[in-house]
Amino acid sequence: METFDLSEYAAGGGCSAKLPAAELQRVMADLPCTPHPDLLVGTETHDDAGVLRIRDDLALIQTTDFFPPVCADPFTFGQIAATNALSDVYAMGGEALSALNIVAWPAGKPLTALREILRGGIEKVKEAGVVMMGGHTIQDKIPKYGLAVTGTIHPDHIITNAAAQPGDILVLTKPIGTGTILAGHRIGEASPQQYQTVLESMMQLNRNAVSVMHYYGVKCATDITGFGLAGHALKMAGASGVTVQIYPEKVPVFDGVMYLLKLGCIPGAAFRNLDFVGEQMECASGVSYESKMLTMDAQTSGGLLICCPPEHAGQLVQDMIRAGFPHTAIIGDVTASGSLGLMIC
Amino acid sequence: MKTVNAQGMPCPLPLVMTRKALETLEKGESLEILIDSENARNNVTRFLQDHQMTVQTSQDGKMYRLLVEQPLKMGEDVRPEDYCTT
Repeated sequence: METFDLSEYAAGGGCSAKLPAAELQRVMADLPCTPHPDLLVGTETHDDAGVLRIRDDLALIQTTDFFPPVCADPFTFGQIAATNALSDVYAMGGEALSALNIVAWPAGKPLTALREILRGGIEKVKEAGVVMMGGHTIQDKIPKYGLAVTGTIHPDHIITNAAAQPGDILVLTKPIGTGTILAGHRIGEASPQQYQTVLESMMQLNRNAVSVMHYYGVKCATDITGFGLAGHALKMAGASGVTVQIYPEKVPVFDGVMYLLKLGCIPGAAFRNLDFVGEQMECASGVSYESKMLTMDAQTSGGLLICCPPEHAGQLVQDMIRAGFPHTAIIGDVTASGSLGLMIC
Repeated sequence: MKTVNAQGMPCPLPLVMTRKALETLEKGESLEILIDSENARNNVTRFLQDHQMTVQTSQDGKMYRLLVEQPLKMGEDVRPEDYCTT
């Protein structure tokens, strides 16, 4: 079979390919909305997916996510892109039902590689118990792949990014630093083992976290992707009207990330996220530059950031570890709204 | 003056090279960085400014020249072992 190395496209790949959050907000600011009595989660809160009630006991979750390659191997890329797209449904507390492929492919490049990407996507869709319904393909200079996903949820059980309460404990289910390790790999500074660990994490579905969240009555969560831990935490703070505090030394991080950051291996997306959080964030004087930039690192197919009532936080962490997320940790807390949305302490 | 020629280097290599150069400056030595990517220019400039350095930028065609007249010497010997968690 003809092989095709996707790494020539990987510099701007994964969730780091997102339009900068500040630019997106400017674009969205004056667009008309489509209000509807059954629209339970719309665009106002910048949540992971939209939710539309179709019966008193049933709502649809809809989301889409696609991006250029993050790695050389097409099959791995397909799995990562699909895992990432499905994650938005899980972040809302839902069960994914069906998926559609979204594909851009350069004319003349080996179609065997495209087939491998799609095979990777289907592999993850099957693992998630989701039905693949079809898709759409276009020609484009840079390959891109992702899914549009439909999920379901009971309207009373929706988990949003707008329900954080003062006193909640912040839990993160996967280590961060995928953007830094991918950049380190491109410049030959990350070890093969460090790179492989990150690929495997990006291929891990967030599905098993959903039942744990519901068991402990979680109402607020989001998945960590292109805007980084800081960017998504700030969006959660803004949507909920609270201040979020993060303790960087408690944040689970992939092996090698802090070394790379110290070396100056800081991906451009981290600087764009720093611009976005800007003056809405305060960093305590004792926090190192590397720790601050770690929280800005764009994640691809990252874990869930969960707001948990304090009485359940310890048990939720233990159950997440048992559910297959061994690095789950308490990384901060939620306070009443102050002058700033995010504190890095 | 020390010169970092990061033209043609993919991100974030220009920043890595700049960071490395900041470790080996002589006292009073200025730093010049040559870059041909706007993204890299923005990122390196932001990094230097975040570390309290003043950057003067000039452009010659596609090449940017960043000049730091009073660079801050940064710590040496960044070793992988110091950051191992396992």
